[in-house]
Amino acid sequence: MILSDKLRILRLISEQPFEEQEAEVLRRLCQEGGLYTERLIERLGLSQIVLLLSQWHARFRKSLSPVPPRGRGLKPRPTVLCAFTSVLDRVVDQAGLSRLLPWAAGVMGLSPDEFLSRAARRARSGRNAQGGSLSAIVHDLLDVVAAILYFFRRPPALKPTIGNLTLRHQLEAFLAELPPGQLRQVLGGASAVAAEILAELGVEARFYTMYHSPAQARRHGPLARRLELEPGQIAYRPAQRSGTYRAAGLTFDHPTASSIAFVYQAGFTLGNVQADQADGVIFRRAPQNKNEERPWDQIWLHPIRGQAVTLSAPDAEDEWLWLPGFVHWWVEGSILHLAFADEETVRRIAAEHHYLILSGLSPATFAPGEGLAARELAAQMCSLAESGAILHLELGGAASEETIAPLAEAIGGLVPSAGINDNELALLTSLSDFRVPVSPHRSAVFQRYQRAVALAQRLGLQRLYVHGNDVDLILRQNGSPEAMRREIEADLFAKGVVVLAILQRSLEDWPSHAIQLAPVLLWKGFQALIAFTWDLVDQRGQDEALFKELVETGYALADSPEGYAVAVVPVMWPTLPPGIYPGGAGDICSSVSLVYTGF
Amino acid sequence: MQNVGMYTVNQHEITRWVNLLEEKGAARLRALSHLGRIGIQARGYRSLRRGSLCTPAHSFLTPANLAQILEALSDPAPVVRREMAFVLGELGGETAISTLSRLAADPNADVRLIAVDALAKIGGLQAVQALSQAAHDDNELVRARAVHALGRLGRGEEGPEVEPIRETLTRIREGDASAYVRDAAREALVALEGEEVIEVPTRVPEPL
Repeated sequence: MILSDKLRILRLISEQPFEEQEAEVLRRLCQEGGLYTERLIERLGLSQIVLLLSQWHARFRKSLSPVPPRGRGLKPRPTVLCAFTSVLDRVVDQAGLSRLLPWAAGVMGLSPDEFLSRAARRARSGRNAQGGSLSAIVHDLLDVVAAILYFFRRPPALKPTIGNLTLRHQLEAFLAELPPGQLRQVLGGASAVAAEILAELGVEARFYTMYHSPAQARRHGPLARRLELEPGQIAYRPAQRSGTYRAAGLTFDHPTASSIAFVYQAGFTLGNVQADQADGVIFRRAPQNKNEERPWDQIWLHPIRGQAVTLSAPDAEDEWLWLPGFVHWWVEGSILHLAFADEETVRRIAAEHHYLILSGLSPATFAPGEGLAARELAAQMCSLAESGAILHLELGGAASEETIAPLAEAIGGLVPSAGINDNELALLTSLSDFRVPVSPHRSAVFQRYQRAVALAQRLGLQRLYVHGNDVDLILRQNGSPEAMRREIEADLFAKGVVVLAILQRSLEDWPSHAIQLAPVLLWKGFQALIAFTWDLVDQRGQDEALFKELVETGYALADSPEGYAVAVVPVMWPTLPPGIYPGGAGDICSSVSLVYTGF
Repeated sequence: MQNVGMYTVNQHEITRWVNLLEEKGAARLRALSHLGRIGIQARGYRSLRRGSLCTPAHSFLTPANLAQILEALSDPAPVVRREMAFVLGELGGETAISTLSRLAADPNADVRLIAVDALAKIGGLQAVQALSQAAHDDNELVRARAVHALGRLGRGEEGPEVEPIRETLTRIREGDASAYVRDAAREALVALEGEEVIEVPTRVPEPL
């Protein structure tokens, strides 16, 4: 019943009058569509755009039918495990962000103008206080503001880490001073949120994360379950029940993994720097326990085979170590013990699920410097893959000094499916050992496709989902027409449910906001679809008859036995009310759509 | 310059492109597309100012312009007929309804869909008649667009003209082979009754 209410809201969204949306897209394409659109009009007329819009709009509406896709022949009630990310996002709205600048200037003893001027210099260089990348880590308040300014002009924003205890305390002090309403705490982390959404859609959805504090548990619904690792056994507990551990004969709550997100609308300015698009910059920090202290001061990592090794503990005395992977942990004396689950346990986990969706992994996860933990995770990947479950990775980006080889070595041939953001795709395919050549005279979206194909080949993927702000690209090795149609349908459906989830976590009266969401047709999505299709047709030496077919269906089959079919789905995403935090939406859409494709 | 309501179109510009319709093939298509652009600009985008159930939209075309455009009606290329339907929807107003009614029965489904869209923009009882026929088209998308147009044109209207629309939509809601078209008819009927289409579920669902 709850589910049917949600699907009904989706349906209501799709019923919004669409004449004006289509007229607006048509007008913008006529005026600003560029050479590719002009070529379409020249060959096929303006009415081709109207056809295109009506066909895609109908497809979108059909995908939001009250009958969920699984009721239309997809696998009934699949079991899905999402791992390894769950986080409490503390979201500062635009009004709160406006306070940051004078507040930070005051803390650093600078005038707001001087502070802004210095931050803007760092933003222009892209470098933090220690010369590293602002995208990766921030060391002081100037870095924080500089990173926000940097992403104003270079969206989408990445997730810099808060680099030291002093800065963390300063930001916490800032949050503490914000008036009510300017700070909101919401469930974040692709794994936790995707499991929530899938559970509500009738999927048997579980998630795994090392830590599950009361603050995180409170933000879950009643349907999803959390996998708990015990020595030699696995258990599934209600997600609303938080995790506890024993130390010195007492029971404690798990620490909280959290982040601070500053969100803003397109056009918002700090000083004279304007945000190009609505977005949010997320600053990550290590998990932390509530009482600002931890009952251990050493970390021992127990490998599956061999002797335990000591890991360095986080500098701050209230911070905990988080590792990607299925890790059992306990506290004994003054030691935090971490043990990667053994082969048998991992195989059992995999055997109990149709899909394993793993988030929080990137080239850095498997970098040589990560040593034992990286090797243990790689071994777990092998065990997971051997079980027959479908493995899907949500890949993160990479800093320029990293390489693709360790990631490719760890997952190559093991993982059939992956998802990645278009910006992160660009980073991964520009690494020193993986510089993907793209055709300079083709459109940006076609170059993205070329990068996607190269990444899929490099990692041995059968399926790659690249989510963007204009179109989503979905590659399927030898994908059939039926498979590609399902990919498109699942992607459109996922977008709808994720929009609702985002509204729901942000607004108490979200249904009344949801039903006012329109338009969903974005002209840039159709511009990208048109550009991509012309480039693909040209590359394959085909004519405009094929163009018409591809642009209307949204997919092209592979042109060689080992090649990839590609679907190009214009992003149909409504303008969200101000202050809504869309963080993680792409990753979550990727996870939801995977399950609904029947891949 | 011709002023129709809040719109201003450059009549010389229209005539210039209409004269080029004597060309064949790509040149004719190009001329039609330019006429379509003039229509898009003239209509603006915020307020579409379309026709209503009983009052069709004004025409931006002179009788001479229209006569020249209609020469493209027999063009063998569907893309040209389709583009012509689009242009008539943007510029033709009430004077184009009979031609668009013919195009709504064109052998090519794409032409029919654009013609239905054009009739929906123009409105008027004659257009409603053609839309009612198109609501039984072989093509699901054409039927759905026609059904939606009928609901939009009848929204908030009263009088004897509405009853045939209601009957048509009710029949389609009950008997169309496509769930998508049946849903469109259901929505159109709700619109026809003048009810708020959007109803918020009374119970707020649990958090995701």
